[in-house]
This record gives sequence, C-alpha cells and structure tokens, in this order.
Amino acid sequence: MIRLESVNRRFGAHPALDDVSFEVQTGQTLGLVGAGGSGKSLILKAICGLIPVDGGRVTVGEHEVTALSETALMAVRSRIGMVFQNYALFDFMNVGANIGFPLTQLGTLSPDEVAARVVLRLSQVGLPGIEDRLPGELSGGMKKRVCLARAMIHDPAIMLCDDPTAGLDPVTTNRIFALLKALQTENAATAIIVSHEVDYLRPICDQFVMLDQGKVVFQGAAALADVSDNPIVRAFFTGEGIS
Amino acid sequence: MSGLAARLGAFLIGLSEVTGGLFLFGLVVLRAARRPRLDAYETWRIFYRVGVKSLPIVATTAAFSGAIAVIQAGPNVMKFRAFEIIGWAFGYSVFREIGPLLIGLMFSGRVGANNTAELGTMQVTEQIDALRALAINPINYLVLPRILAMVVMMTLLNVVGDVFALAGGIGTSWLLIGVDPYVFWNSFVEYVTLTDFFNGVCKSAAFGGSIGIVSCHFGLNVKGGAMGVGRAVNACVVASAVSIFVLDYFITYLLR
Repeated sequence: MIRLESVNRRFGAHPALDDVSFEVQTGQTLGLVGAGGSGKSLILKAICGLIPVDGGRVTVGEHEVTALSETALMAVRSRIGMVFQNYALFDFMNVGANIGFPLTQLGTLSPDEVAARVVLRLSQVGLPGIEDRLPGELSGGMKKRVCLARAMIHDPAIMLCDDPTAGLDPVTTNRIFALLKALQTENAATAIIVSHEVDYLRPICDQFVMLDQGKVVFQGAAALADVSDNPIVRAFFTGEGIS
Repeated sequence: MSGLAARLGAFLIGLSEVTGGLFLFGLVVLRAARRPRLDAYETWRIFYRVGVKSLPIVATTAAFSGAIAVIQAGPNVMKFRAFEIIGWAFGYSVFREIGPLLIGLMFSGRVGANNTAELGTMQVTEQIDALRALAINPINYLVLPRILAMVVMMTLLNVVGDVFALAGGIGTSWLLIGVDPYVFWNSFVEYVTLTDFFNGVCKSAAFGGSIGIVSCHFGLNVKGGAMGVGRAVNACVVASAVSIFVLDYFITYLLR
C-alpha cells in the first residue's frame, strides 16, 4: 500500500505539491494524470524518497518514507522498480549490463542466472538479442522498453512509471502499456503510472488521480471522471470543451 | 558604495557556500569510506581511465617541465661554471614543486573536468536518481572509486612524471648546455634526497584527493541542464586550481 497524506513541496514561492493526499491499495494500478508541470513526477520521486518534502507524510507499506534516512531508504527502494521519463539508462554500460545492474548489485544471483534473467526480460519487452548494444544506439521507444526491463528485472512489489510512453508512436505506446499490465499482473505489483494517455490507461488502471497546479482535483474511477462536475477533469478525460 | 558592498557580500556568501559545501561533501565521503563497498568493475574502469589514459599528457608535461627547469637554470650554471649542482637544482625544484604542481594542474584540467562533466550529465539525465532508485548509494558506487583512483593514480603518475622529467632534464642539459649526462646524474644522486622525492609524492596524493572531492562535488550538484554542466566544469577547474595552490602552500610549510 502507498499512502500520501497532506504532502507539500515548494520551489521558492511556487507550491509544486499542495496538500496532496491519496492512497493506492496493494496490487492496484493507479493512473496519475494531469497537465505538464502539475507535480506528477515529483510525487513518484517523493514516494521513492528521491526528493524531500516540505510537509506531510509518504508511507510505502509499513515504512514512512519521509521519516527515513538515505541508508534506511535503501530497503524500501529495493522493492521498487522505477521507469524514468528520460530513460536514465547508464550510458557507460551496454543494454545487458544496464538491465542486469540491480541484480548484479544485489549479488544474490550468479552471473549466468543474471544473464538468463536479462535475456528473458529483453524478450518480454520485444527486444531480444540487443544485450551488447549501447543505450546511445537505441531509438526512444527501445530505450523506454529497456528502462522498463531494468525496472522490472528484480520483480519489484511496487512499480512507478513516469510517462513511459512520452513521445512514442501509437503502436509502441500500445505495446508498452500492455507490457506494463502483464508485468504488474505477473508480480501482483502495486503500480502508479504517470501518463497523459488517458484512453490507454483506462483498461489497465483501477483508479485515477488527477493533479492541477500541484493539487489533487480528482480521485476515483475513470467513469466518474467522465461525469465530474469539475470542467478541467471532464475536459482531460473526455476531451469535452476542447476546441 | 552600497552596490560594491552588495557585490562583496554576494561574493563572500557564494564563497562560503562553495567551501562549506566542499567541507560537508568531504565529511560524507569520509563517512562512506569507513565501510567502502566498491564495485570491482566500476573501480577498475575508473582507475584505467584516470591513470592509463592520463599517462601521455603527464609524460609530456613532465618531460618539458624538466627541460624548462634546466633551460632556466642554464645561464647561471654556465656563468658560474657550476655544472656539479645542475642535477641538484633540477631535482630539488622539479621533484618538490614544479612536477607535482604542473602535473596536478594538467590532471585537474583533464581528469577533474571530465569527471565533473560525466557526473553532471548523469545528474541532469536522472542517472544519479536511477542509481538511488535502484537502492545503490552513488557515493559508494560513483564517488569513492573516483576519489581513490585520483589519489592513487595522481601519486603514481607523479612518480612516472619524475622519471620523464629527469630524462627531459638530462637530455636538455646535454644538448643545450653541453653538460655530460654522467655529471648531471652524479649531481642528482649526490644532492637530491628521498625527502625531496617524498615531498612531491605527498603533494601529489593531496592534490589528487582535492581534485577528486572538488570534481565530484560540482558534478553531483549540477542544476539546469547542459548550461549547468558547463558552469560546473568551469567552477571545478577554477576551484581545483585554487585548492592545489592552497594545499601546496600548507604542505610546503609543513614539510619545510
């Protein structure tokens, strides 16, 4: 379970997150939507403990992330798989080393076992046989899928995906969302997916949270958003009122 | 007048931020170094890049600094016919001062700037966040191997540089001043002591450590994309050079 309670974060005088509260039950998938700059990526980073918050509490499972030291956060992060908006692949490693990196660092599997897991994940993301290529040699869509494979290599209990289909064509977008759902189901993981692609998110998300200027303006199922009293929410989910 | 005071105040606040940040970062590194968990492959990669790849530029710098020391001393050696002290004059100045200082400055320009650029790029492309999200401490994985490599390799490069400087000094004194290499060598082994050599070695180790801390600090604190990386590299080169001269002053004073 992931819970945010009255989370605040400011950049100077600008409130990036303003009293944000919601929770995601274990095994559920939450779609986190909103216009660019509304604070979606910040929420994922706050859940992972990558940024401090100015107020409020973030709880992941039994751990209060906002009260843990950097060392103590390692235990929480080892259960999280995070897909970054800008790929964040290590450019000094080849694809195989990138994907196997979390397992190599854990040191619980032999190099052969890690290699086998890498091959499996690469075939699952539809990119078999590219272990020896460097991230710089891949297209945007391929990088996203490699990033996804790396985030899921250690079968995380929590999946945090930051705009995993930004800038991709509809076919690749479809493939990535299907893959996310498959991996989430395979591990019975709790997932938060940040995206603007509401239509793609509808079939795979149990509920949605929408942010506007750092505030939660909607929380619930997509069907409720379609008939929301808030015109911003309705416009975002149905396209209504957009000329 | 108030504008000047405001600028002076802003400068002093900036200076305090940088020195305080470097000091705190040094403490974080020392704390992590108590229980180092180095990744063997990453450590090897950094050692190779920092040390082996720097060898040509260090050898060239050292050989020419040895030659320049002899050229500078040449007129006086000729004037006073003091051929028997040319090896000493060379060894004393190059081993103690010129060698470590010039190699340190070259090292900071090549390795330090490169390190800041690499870490800064990793910062702006979220690779540092990705490491942390994968439950890996960037200080252990990225910073410790780099600082260790810079201390060890700067020291070793200084020793190698001493050899090249000696070759440059002997060659130049023979070709330009006509001093027999045997006379130069005799003067060198007679008057230059191990203390002179270790003085330079101590300075090199300290310069390597300071370049490591400065370059990692500026790299990990990059803000603002590509422009931020550029600013950080610039700040790293300036701060490294200043730290080298400040350390040189104190070590020279302590080991006088």
